[in-house]
Amino acid sequence: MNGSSSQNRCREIGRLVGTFVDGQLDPVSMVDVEEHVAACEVCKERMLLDRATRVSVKKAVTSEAIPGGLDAFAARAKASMMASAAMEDARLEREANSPTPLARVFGWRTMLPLSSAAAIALMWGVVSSHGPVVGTSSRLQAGFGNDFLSDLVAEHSRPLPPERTDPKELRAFERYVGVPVHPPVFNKKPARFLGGRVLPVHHERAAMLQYELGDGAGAQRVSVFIYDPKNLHIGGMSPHPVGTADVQVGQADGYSVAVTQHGGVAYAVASDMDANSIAEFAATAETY
Amino acid sequence: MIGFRADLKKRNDADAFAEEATSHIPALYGVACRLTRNPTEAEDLVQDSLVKAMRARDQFQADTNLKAWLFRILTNTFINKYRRGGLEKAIFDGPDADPLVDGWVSASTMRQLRDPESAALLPIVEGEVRNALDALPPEFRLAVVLSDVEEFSYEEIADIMGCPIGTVMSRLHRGRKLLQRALYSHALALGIVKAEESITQNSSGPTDLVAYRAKKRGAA
Repeated sequence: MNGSSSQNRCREIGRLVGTFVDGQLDPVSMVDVEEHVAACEVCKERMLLDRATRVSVKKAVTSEAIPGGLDAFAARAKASMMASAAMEDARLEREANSPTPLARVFGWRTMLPLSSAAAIALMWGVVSSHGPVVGTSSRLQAGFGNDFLSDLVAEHSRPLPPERTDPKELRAFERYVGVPVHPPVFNKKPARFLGGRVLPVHHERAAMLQYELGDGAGAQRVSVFIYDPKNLHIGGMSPHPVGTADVQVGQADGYSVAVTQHGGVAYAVASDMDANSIAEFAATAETY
Repeated sequence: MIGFRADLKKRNDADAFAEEATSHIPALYGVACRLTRNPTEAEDLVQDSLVKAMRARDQFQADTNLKAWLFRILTNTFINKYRRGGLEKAIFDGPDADPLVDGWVSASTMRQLRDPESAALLPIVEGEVRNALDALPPEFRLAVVLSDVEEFSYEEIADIMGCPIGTVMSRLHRGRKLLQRALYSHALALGIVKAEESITQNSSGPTDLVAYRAKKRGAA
């Protein structure tokens, strides 16, 4: 083997060494790497250095000490989680009876004392047939129910730049969102498609498509969020039927969100329209 | 009575879930520290992620990997929390098309960077690993940490980061290259190794990461 082809071979193997060290190379390539490394000092050192780097990275990250100690941190985390679970149960129970408009999610530092109080109130309610649970919880739950609605409004009010501007390319989002992503066509008003992107929403993902209605200074922005309704649910919405169409509408921070479902796919339309207009706008959209 | 029993069962289930989820705190916290580069923010990130996991525990499928699921929530929470500062773009739009060269130094130089006894890097080089990791673009840093520290498979990392496996492999390859270059540069500055022609021929060496990040910021 001459110098140049040997160098090329080293380069080829060099690209596989990382995957080899990770143990994720296919068996045939693994044999190739093993044979080459046994005969090539440079590639052997490259592999050993890769291994050494992994060991040191692991040591550097796992040696991170938790301020105040692990036990105290775990206890705080568990208290937050249990309080959150208790509040969620209370919210679901209450929402089944009378849906209440809810407010934004707080950080855990705010949430812990609040939610602990709610959990205590809930426990009190469990052991007594009457008491302050309803009043207390209904105030406290305001912090936890419609964060999805607030998130969608935040995404619409401060939109991130689109990842794709060609509507034909939106199909690629399907694998991340879990449902087919087709841009809806709006019959109520002509809308110009600006682009779309995938968004992490809570622990799931949604596609966000951006449109513009009208031109110039009077242009109105509309965002459409496409997601799997089995995984994501918007709280704080009210039924707003348009003809035979089942539309849910919610409002936050001066924006309205209208949700419709077609073929097991949810479409949430966000804009600064009023509730009636956005319900009608969403209901007359065609989805494919 | 039936209602009370149902409540009790719910609380027991929640308690068991919280117990199991909090057992992953050391792993979550280590990764959160490298993501946020700030212990207080890392603690907040882990707490927020665990509370979200609790609220969504019905969606977690038993018999699947809880740790990977928690990391997915952690990653999404991180992206949600920090994207207003522009970091999320790097994670979703990663500069995977930007080629990095494979040039590296001689076998003897590579040998000098290792500690043969511990099978790790020389302690003096190892001391720079956190800084070098923190200097990586976040999407590379996350891929490297999930692979090297948590030993997730490529498939799991792809699921956690919401990208194809090929992208994971590319981010790992490039992230490790940048990391090793930064460590080499550190060793060079300390006089542990001597400068070699090959690395300067094939790349711009230690300044490469700085230029790369500047370019990324400009493109964002």
